[in-house]
Parts: sequence; structure tokens; C-alpha cells
Amino acid sequence: MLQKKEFADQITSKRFIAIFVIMLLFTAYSIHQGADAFMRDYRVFVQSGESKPSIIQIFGFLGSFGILTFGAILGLLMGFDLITKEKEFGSLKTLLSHPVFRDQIINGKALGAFLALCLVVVVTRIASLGVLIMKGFVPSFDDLISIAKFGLITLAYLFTFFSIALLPQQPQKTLERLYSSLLAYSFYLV
Amino acid sequence: MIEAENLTKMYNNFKALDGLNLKIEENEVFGFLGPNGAGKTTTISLMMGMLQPTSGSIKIDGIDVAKNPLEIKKMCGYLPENVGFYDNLTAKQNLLYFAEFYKMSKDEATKIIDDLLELVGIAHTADKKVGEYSKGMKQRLGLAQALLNDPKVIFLDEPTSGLDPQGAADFRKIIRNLKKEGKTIFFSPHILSEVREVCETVGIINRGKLIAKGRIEDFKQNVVIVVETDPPLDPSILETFGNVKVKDSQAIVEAERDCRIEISKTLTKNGYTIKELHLTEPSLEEIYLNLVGGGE
Repeated sequence: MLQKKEFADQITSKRFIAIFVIMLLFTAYSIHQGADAFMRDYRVFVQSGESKPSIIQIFGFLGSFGILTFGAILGLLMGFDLITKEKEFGSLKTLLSHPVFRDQIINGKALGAFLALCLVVVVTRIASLGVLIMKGFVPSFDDLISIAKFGLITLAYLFTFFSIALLPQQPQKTLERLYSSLLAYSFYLV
Repeated sequence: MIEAENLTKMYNNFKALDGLNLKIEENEVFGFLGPNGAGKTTTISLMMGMLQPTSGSIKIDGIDVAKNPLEIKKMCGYLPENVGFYDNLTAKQNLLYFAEFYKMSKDEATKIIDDLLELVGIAHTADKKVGEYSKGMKQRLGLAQALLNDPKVIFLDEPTSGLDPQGAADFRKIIRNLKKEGKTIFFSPHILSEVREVCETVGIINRGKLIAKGRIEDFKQNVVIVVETDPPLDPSILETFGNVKVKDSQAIVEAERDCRIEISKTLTKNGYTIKELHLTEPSLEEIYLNLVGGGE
């Protein structure tokens, strides 16, 4: 229930929606361009049988740049006041007077935000596939796997920035350890 | 019901609580008094299992708070000072969210919440966002929130601050009704006069130490009886009742109890006409100031 509420709070917050829309527009534009370049290369591949272009090309420079900048901003904005906001409004104290552990609250929030980030990644991936199919290219299974992998790495990247923002709000040492290991792992993935 | 033993809480180098011992019986309404920063909120937070004591222990209904904070939270309700909610949710949604932490179905929770909102007098604004609530309305919602799990023990930290006089009176009535239902109430009052109205026992804390505890009646120290007669009184005839001082034409008798009838009889027997004979009791405030002042 904690993650359900956090997820709902995240995806309905103005901050989230604003950045998400910018990201989506950015991605749509760059995929449109990236797809053109990809289709060109793909036709060359079909004709000459030379090296197959990577499907990831459709995300283009702008797409990855969009994820790199706006994705990082989104991750930071989602996390930086997650706990402090509750402290400030006094809702943390009210929440803690009910049978729930502190770490459950933090984990629930992290999970909720993670799900919101999953939504971001899935929506942008589906949008990109949509553009591609509209342009007349049906991706193969291998292409889908590549897109999924790229999605996972994007997710790890976004969650890394979310964790960085969440980290200074943790007073407890065990959680600090948990999140710094998550952080290190995410960096490793990136 | 509540037993605190040798409770100490350190914040860095500051001793917020210093070996506090406290015992509160079941179905007692306990008023916890003390100056700002004396350790009242710290004590309540420790009892609710929201903080860990540096040393000492608390048991509520035989359950060790530090070891089983979740069990404690299931059977206790807490209205914190400056209670906070999720401003983007309505009053009802806030309570429904908190209700999810207890084993109750949604229908059951909805019914309980409707009743509670009615009880605290905000049923008509139940679907308004809490962000639009006034401080007093939040306070009312806070009480509803504290009663959500039908707790055995209820902690109220300055529950009537921010309430209008009618609201404060409603709260006191609710507290008295909770007492009738058999609840144990730990109450840190905003104003001293409330103590006399709702509490049976009182504890006074200063600088992290309990400096006095007992029934309200026990706190009443010597009474003072003011006597004025015609002709002016010879103070020696009242000395059997207590210490007598003469001030202007009045005699002031410090007695252990109200003995106006005996004084009246003595005066009549000795041929005095009584112009004035009245009793003044020290107010709880005087007692409190005396004790807290003496503790310094």
C-alpha cells in the first residue's frame, strides 16, 4: 500500500508530468529522426548484406541525450524531497504512529518511485516501437531483446539518480548501506 | 497499563529524559504537565515506540515497547503535536490510507471512518482536501486518526491547541467518553485548567525528571481561610486551627482542611459578629508554578 500510494503520488505530481512530457516529446522527435537514419542503413543492409545496423540507432543521439539529461533530472526530482517533505508536513510522524516500520516506509516509497520510472521507460519504448512500425519496419525478436536491454539500462540509470537524491535523507546506517550498494550496482550496470 | 522504568533519553549530549519512572493504571486519565522542552513529547514518542530509549524500559499492557513497537502501535493511538497529513488527499482518503495498516476490510474501514469523522465534527468536510483545512480542523482529523484502530491506550499531545473554545470543549467531552469506554488516556494538556476538568491523576515533569505525581486532590496543599469580624479579632483564639496571620483588619488562617464551620462556631461563642469568612484554595497553576519553580 505504501508503494501504491507513492506510485500514485508520483505519477500525478505536476513535476513528474511536466518532465515526463518533455522527455516524451524529446524522445518522439529524436526517434522520428533516428528511425529515418536506421531505415536508410537497414535498406543498405538488405541490399548489400553488410553489417546489420543496431536497432538502438533509432533512439539516436538526441534520444540518449534526452534520457541522459531529463532522465537524470526526473530521477533527482522524484527523490530529493521524498522523506523531507513528509517530515516537513508532519505526516511522517502520523504515519509512524501506525503499525509500520521506518524501513518499510522508505522501501515502499523507493518501490513506488521505481514503478513510476518503469512506466516512463515502458511508455517511451512503446512510443519508439510505434514510430518504427508506422514507418514500416517490423522488428525481429533480437531487435526486441536489444530494445528491452536498452530499457533496463535506462531504468538503472534513472533509478541511480533517484537513489542519489534519496540517499541523504536516510538516517539509518543499514539502509545507507543497502542503497549505496544499489547505487554502486546501478553504476556498474550503466 | 503503562509502566516506565528508569527511562533515559540522550540527544547527543543533551539529556531529554533523566531516569523517569512512571506508572499509569488501566482506565486512568493521566495529565502530563511540564514546561516547554521538559521532555513530554520525548516521553510520548518513547512510549509509542517511535524512539528508542538510551536506557530503561517501558511496558504497555505487559508488552515491552522497544522490543515490540508494532504490537504497541496496534493497540495505541497517538495524536501528535502539530499533527500532519497528506495535503493532496481528502480527510477520508487520509484516514483510509492509515486504516490500510490495520487488518480491516475497506467496508469496515469506511464505516469506522464515517463514524469517527462524525464524532470529531468534520463529517461535512470529509471529502475536502486536507490542504484546505484549518489548523483546528486538522486537529480534529488528528483525533479521528488516533482513534482509528479503537486503541486501548491513547496518547494526546496538546490536543486542544489550535481549537476554538467550542472545539476544545468537544474534545474534553470526547476524552471523558473515552474514559467511560475503559480507555487509558495519556494527555499532555495545552492549558492547565483542562487538567482539572478531565484528568484524575497528574504528573509534573521538569528537565527530564518527574518531580511530582498523584491524584489531583493530593496536590491541593493547605487551604487559606480569611476571617474578618466585628469587633476586630484576637488572633489567638483561632490558633487551634492553624497558623494565623493578621493583615489589616483580617485574620488569615492557614489550615490543613476547610474548617469554616468550626471557626464560625468558635467566633459566635466568643461573641464576634462575622463580616467575612471565606476559603481560598491554591489553584493548580499556583501548585504547578511552585513545583516547577522549586525544581530549578
